[in-house]
Amino acid sequence: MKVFVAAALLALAAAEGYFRLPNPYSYSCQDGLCVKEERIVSGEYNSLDKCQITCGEYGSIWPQPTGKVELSKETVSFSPLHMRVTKAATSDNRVARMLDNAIQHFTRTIHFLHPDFPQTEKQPLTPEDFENTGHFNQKFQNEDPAQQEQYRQRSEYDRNQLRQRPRYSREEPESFIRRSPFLRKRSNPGVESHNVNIEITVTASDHKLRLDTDESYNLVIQTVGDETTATILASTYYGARHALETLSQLIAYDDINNAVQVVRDAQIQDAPSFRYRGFMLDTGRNFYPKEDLMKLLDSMAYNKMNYFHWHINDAASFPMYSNRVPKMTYYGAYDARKVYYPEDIREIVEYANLRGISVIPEIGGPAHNAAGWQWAQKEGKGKLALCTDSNEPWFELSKEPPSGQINPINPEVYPILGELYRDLMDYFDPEMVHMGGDDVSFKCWQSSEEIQQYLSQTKRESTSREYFELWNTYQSSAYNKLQEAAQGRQVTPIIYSSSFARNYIDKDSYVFQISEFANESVIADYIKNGYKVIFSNQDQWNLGCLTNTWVGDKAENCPSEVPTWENFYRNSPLDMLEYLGVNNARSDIQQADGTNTKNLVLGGEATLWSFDTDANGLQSKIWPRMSAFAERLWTDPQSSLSGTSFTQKRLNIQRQRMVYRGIAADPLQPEFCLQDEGACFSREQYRARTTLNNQQ
Amino acid sequence: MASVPVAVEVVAAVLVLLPSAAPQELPAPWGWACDEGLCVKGVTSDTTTSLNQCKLTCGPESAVWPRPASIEHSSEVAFFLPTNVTRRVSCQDAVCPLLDQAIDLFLDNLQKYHPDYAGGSAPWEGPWDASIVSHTLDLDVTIWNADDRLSLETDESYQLFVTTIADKTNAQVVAATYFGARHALETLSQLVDYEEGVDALMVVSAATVVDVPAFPYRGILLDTSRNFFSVQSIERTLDAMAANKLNTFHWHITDSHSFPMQLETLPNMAYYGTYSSRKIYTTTEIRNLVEYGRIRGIRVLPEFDAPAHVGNGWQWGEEQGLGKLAVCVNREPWQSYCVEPPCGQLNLANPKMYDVLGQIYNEMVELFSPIDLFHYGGDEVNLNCWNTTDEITSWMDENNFGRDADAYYNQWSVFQEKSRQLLTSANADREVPGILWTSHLTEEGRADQYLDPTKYIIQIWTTGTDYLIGELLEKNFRVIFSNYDRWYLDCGFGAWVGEGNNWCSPYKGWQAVYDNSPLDIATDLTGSAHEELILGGEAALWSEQADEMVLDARLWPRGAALAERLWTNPSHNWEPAETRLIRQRQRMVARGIMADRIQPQWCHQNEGLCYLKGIHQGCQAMGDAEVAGVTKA
Repeated sequence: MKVFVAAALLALAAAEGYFRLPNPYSYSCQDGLCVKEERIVSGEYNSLDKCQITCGEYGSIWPQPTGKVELSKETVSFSPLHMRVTKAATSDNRVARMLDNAIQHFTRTIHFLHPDFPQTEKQPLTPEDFENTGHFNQKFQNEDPAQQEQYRQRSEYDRNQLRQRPRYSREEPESFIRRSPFLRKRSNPGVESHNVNIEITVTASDHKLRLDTDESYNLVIQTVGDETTATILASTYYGARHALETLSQLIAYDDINNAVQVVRDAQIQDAPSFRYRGFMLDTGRNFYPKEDLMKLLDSMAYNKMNYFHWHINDAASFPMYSNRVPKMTYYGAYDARKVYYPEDIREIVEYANLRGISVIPEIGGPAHNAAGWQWAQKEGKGKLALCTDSNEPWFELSKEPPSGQINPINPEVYPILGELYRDLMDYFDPEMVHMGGDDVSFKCWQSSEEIQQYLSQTKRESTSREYFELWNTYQSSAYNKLQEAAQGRQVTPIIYSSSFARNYIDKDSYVFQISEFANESVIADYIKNGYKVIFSNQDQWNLGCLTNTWVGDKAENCPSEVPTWENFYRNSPLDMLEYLGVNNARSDIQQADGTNTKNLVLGGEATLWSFDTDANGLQSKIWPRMSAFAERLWTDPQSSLSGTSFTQKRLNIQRQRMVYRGIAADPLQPEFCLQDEGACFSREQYRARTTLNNQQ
Repeated sequence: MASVPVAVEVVAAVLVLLPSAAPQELPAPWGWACDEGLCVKGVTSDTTTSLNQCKLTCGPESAVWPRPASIEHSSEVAFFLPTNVTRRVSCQDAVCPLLDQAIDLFLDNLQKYHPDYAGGSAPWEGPWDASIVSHTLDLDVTIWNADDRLSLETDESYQLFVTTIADKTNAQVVAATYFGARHALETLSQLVDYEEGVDALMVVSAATVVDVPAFPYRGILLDTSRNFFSVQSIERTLDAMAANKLNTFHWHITDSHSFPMQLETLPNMAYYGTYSSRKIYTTTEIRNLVEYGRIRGIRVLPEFDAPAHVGNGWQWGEEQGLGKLAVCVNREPWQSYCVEPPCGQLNLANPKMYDVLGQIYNEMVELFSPIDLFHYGGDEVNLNCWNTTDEITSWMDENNFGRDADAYYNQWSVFQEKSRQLLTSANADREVPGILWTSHLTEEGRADQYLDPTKYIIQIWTTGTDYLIGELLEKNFRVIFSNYDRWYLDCGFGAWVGEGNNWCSPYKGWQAVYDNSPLDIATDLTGSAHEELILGGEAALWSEQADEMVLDARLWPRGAALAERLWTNPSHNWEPAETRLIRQRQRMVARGIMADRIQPQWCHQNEGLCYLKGIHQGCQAMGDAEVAGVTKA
């Protein structure tokens, strides 16, 4: 349809001069902003795209690199068909295959730049040689092959019960190029002769991202005559992947030549400020199809984020297919279509890895548990989850419906938990596992006859001290089960911050996720006491609360002001610690005991609790606000936001870029502001600009 | 490692269950029973049904949205396949082709109930009992009159009778107009759902629906100037509106930001005014959209906002020897000359401007033909723009108009009168009611000074407590409600110029949209409901911070909440409607509308349990157990 329209317009242009392409405007870079001007007929035409990738110190790169950046003001045009990888040097076969995939992915994003590329066809690219990457063929658990085979058959049987068809067909990696509009119409002749070569060198053989992975890279672009060479040097695959992402951001559509254009010469050195740049999605309250998770991972990679915390289940549903305890899923899934089968999960984990992202699974507790646990009582195992009776008012027992919390004194709970952890080891081979630890309701345990009996039998009182002890019973047993399931591998647990965590949890065994509001004084205590932390301030970095309240109509349930992209951008862990009195939070000087602040702050995580979100609203609720968050963690900029339009303009471009790549990001402004970067100013920005102009 | 043997035991136990584990296989072990109008989840038994079937038969309104004026239905269903639908129609020549298309759309909608629908025909695979294969759904539609265009007087009422005898379900539709009949088909489609257990459709076996809308004007506004929306996305919006029996798509097609409308005789408007050559509505596309809406019972109402809210697209006048058509275009600092960037206002001093405006009206009247209403915009004029433009001030002085605010308001009203005459003459001298936004011209004591209540309808966008609403009603203006405190769908995000949240924050949740009752507002302000003057209402999506990427989620399901307010005008608040709204939201999603979630799916499967009490803390700090309120030891 779009193609037809475009053709019709061209016909019109020819017939009546109706549309004198491209348009009557040209753009010039003024003080780092692309300003729209009426075009002088004889003058030089600069397209908006060209201006955007060359204007300002960082062009349109998002997140801003942390090292040296030099960009020429010129671009050179080429056809994406004449872009090829001439060298991909690595000594490791596995890394070589991963690079192939990254290059395919990169190439697609370049073709997506064509405005006529059909939006509906910008779907995730399933890795062609997924089965051969070998990662999951190695059996992690010590179980005999017959057992493994039985698991596989049963999960496939359950999956085949559905009439379901995959939403997107799996296609040959190259086949999308056949649909590329660049193929239908040749680029201008002068452009057709230009070649772009990409040379990649990766020195290490890492093929799994960890907290200590070196993600840095060097990117050099040089143009000599008809040849442009982009040279990427990185220690690991992960750095090389980031370099390709940066390179893709130095390329834009060229509307005159039906081609693309790249910054003619460039030098970039880059490395992240924080090693944990995460996002949590809750798939327990609402389900997200596999393809939507893959698109999510794509969009995270576009912003160089590297950890996906998967809050799989909640009291509302248990969508993970458990090989070892499938009844958790039979009873806990919303329906048979809303299940993550083991092969789906492995595919997602591998897909994430190729995008430079490590997946952290969460099966948390003791709160937020109800769905799935119902089966055990029928089989004589007693109540595994308490407070699940819908006749009791949920608000007496939990923070939201449905209520439900693990029964910590039922010994049947822990072997089952152990089996679920073993499933996690199988599916995810995780570096870290999130154990939850939020929203524990002592009122739930207090209301349980079983718990009360237990307390009186053991001569204990119904006090919060005893409930903390019960919580500790749960947490230490669960921890032991996790370590058993890990079978000697190092798997680090993560737990939400709380007074329980501070008083009961060993700081050296866990990572702590800080959900306190920004600038709460307790945050400094974690650092002063040497805890390893991930910042996740819920007043600044919570992506929910944007729309309806889901229980009742009281908008007061959420903060009165929705966190905007500026909140996501401004919330700086290190500045916060300095404000809270942690000395030298930004210091690079190593303390003798290794506990300097920068080592303890792993990074940050933005969260989306899916009360009122599913795949339909996912992308627009997180993007582009999470892009702002991503730059905070990658770049950790120390300059102030106020009074300039520079960050806003780069963010608008990053949003537009994600849209070109098939991500339905929210528009922050009218397109007018994207097309005239100086036009949509606030009073502060106007004052800053006039002051600047007066100084010159 | 002490627990390893235990773990192995569990595994063994599970495996033993495997071969004969029928109750534990997917799909899930749950069923639903109807209990006092709510579907209650429990373990499957003889007395439970699927959730879909329960939703179809349990509540007094079945799963119909918006709630009909009157509906009775049985608690039984009949199973059938979408291929076994017959049609018999009785209609006049002018409307029979429309009815055929409406029935085709109805059949498409049946296909979309299949959970694996992916366009075209869904994968119906069976196996089916003979009773399902032989069952037919027989449509019998009678339309009395030949109206094929919607107006404020159109009779949209209908009657629908569903009866089942043996292997035939008869659906009889009787309506005065085509528009009533298509609403009836919409209702019928909502008495149908998919049954997973038999891979077939089910229809409520007997029902009587007698239905009529409460208000004749039930609208959605879309602004396609601040950001562009593709034709496909507008079509999708019309589909969703039809599913909710909304009948007016108010197209705010141009503004100061961009001019995406192609005009054959004024190509420069779009040439200078579009964001790009791809972001334009061609004349063919506009005509097609008008027809697309008509088939779905929707008038596509054009707005040409003037004299403010113009700018980009009007720059070419001087080059063509027509002088400045608009002034203050993109003038800075914008804060001094308009309400938001970029600025622009028509040049009242230039008589050539009226030639161009008349030409625009000529083409628009033809593109949207035949029009029964026209929206002139008419809001947010900035006097400082005119009063700082030499051409205008000298014109004011030359004519001795004066230069105070009233002088400018007078000239603005002269502009409005000229616009009305130009539009009427473009419409072959047929006068149609004009719609104007509340503005300085409608402020206290002014409206009847400048505007004739027999010629203008006022669209209210102030708050629902503004005394001005009462004044307009008492001066006999017909009104359309769009009070921003409830019916502006763009509120509640970060501000787009400067920081903080946007001007009309917070977000208007569906509950607020549902509870906004124009008649109650009128009664509160004047002591009388003024039913004869209140034509209805409209939710507005201004697009500074919305485009195609987020269109569906911004509009739906909140637009559905609006629809029930305007179709049914219920006397109760949102609470009894909640579970049905969630069902309607699911239905829209099945039809390809990317409607937003409003609750965890758990609430859909556990009706009545997501009730309001206490405070949900998901958006606040999590973690500390102390909040649970247990006394410290």
